[in-house]
Amino acid sequence: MSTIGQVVANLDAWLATMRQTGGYGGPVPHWWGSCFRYAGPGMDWRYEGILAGYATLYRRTGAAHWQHRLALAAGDVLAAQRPDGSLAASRFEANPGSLGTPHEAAAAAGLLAAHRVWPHPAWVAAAGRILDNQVVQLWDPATQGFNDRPHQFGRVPNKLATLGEACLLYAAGTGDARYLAYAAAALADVLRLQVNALGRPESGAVHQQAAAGGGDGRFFPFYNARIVPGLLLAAELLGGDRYRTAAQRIGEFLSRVQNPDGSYPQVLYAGGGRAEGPRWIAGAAEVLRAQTLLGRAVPAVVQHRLLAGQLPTGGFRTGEGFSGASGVDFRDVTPAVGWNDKVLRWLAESGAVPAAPPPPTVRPASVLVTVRGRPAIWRETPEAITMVSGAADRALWYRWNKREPWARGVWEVLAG
Amino acid sequence: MGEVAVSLVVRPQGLPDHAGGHEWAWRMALDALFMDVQTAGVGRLQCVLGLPGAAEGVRDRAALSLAKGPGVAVAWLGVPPDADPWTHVDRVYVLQYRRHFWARRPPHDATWHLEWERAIYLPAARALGAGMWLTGRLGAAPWHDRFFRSLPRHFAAAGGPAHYAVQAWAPGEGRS
Repeated sequence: MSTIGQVVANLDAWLATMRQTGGYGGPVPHWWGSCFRYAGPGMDWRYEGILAGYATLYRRTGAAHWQHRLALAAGDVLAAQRPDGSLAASRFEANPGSLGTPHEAAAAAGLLAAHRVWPHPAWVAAAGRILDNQVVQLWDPATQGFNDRPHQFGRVPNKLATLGEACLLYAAGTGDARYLAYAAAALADVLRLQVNALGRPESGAVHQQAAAGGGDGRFFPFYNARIVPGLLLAAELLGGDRYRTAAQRIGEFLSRVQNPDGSYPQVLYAGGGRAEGPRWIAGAAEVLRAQTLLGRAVPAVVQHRLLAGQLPTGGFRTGEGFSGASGVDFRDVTPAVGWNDKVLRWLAESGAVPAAPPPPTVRPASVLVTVRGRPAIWRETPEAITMVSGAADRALWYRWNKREPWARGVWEVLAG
Repeated sequence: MGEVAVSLVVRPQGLPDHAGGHEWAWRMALDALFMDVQTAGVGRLQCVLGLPGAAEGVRDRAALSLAKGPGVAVAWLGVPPDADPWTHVDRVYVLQYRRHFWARRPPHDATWHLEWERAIYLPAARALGAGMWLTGRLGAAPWHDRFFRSLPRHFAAAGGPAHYAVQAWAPGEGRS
């Protein structure tokens, strides 16, 4: 296995291939639905991990290489900001839509995390405009909370945790106490949707969203992990034991549901059901990070599984088990910047990072995959991601030129 | 290469609201259109839109697209096409809401040919949406998720009955 320094250097080299005019692009495989048509820049949560990850690498090493990467990424977000404070293409798997949740708040958090390392008033101002717009669009005075869509009641705890974290960072950076109150309101809804009953598989977990009578009975380990950093920051800035206790209980839930191979199920349902796939590979970095922040030991198998998911290109596979059948689905292998940013941040915070990154040792990757059950050859180079039929005709089923915002191909792939 | 220049005229047609499955359908149709704009080298797009709620989606995609050529296209999205632009453009896009809206072939210039078509928001997707609604009401989250996750595969097809059909038309050889 490569050293962590080499892993980071190769991931950084891959990320560089994913940049085009305007920022980091690429297709997005996701549980909710995938985005293989638009592959242009996305100002979504990918910028949370990229900004925080490169900022941490710069803080830890002082290397100009990481500082340059950080400046580029921050510049992308500032350039994509619209007059109302929102960001273009901020909905990740639903790009190129805007007002993405938690994505715009996540990008704001990334800018604010970067500002802590390399102070830039313009970054704080841009983050403030994002958050101001989130308040205008999503704050519901009647219920004293943040909706998930304008003028439509809804509460999604993991998104509220990200928004709360961004609000706390902003308040800490500017002294604007209004945002302490907004953070407290957002996180109150998170705590309200945590399972307090003991002895259940989902004990300590937080429902995916509010529903009539409480939560919706869905518990995603990945999204629960994303709640932890916001709660821990709240414990620090708002005080009180309840935030830290809630975060620790999530950590216990994560440990309890971990599979022996180091993976985590996609979702557990109240009543005992669970859907295993897709099991995240790159996204598992969020679970590792949460457990690390909580000071909890993470079995080595979890880390090994994540690191084994790095492709020869330097990018990390998205997951395994997308199709539910045997074999590698094209969505399993396709790496997305918005999953790999999480690996970057975790490695930057946890790994033994050398002062100067070693030269990358990357090469094109080729993987036999299935597309809706039919064999195909998936290939990635610095210039493109392609899929061709596994049949003798080698028909082109998908091509995304990495310098272009739109892909082309057959609908079986484009539908995602 | 700059962004694709778009001129947008809105002519409301009483189409279904830009929400739920219809919002998905518009997103998919606009994605298909702008994928083609890039491939076909369209640099300027004149868009006549029948649904005001979809205007932001058109503008967003145009701003994020690269003009890879000097081509001019017109798009009739939820609006019956007029005759005139067919003689002055390199490409025509049509988004129909239910096929009885207007004639399938362009009536004014027989040399134009249908290059591709996608049927969007299929009956199967409608049925899955109903299943999602019902299982959501019953609190049957695993079934709700199964229906939801199978939607993309059943949302569009090369043809057949559907709420929407998006088409790309190209001029024939020898057009003056």
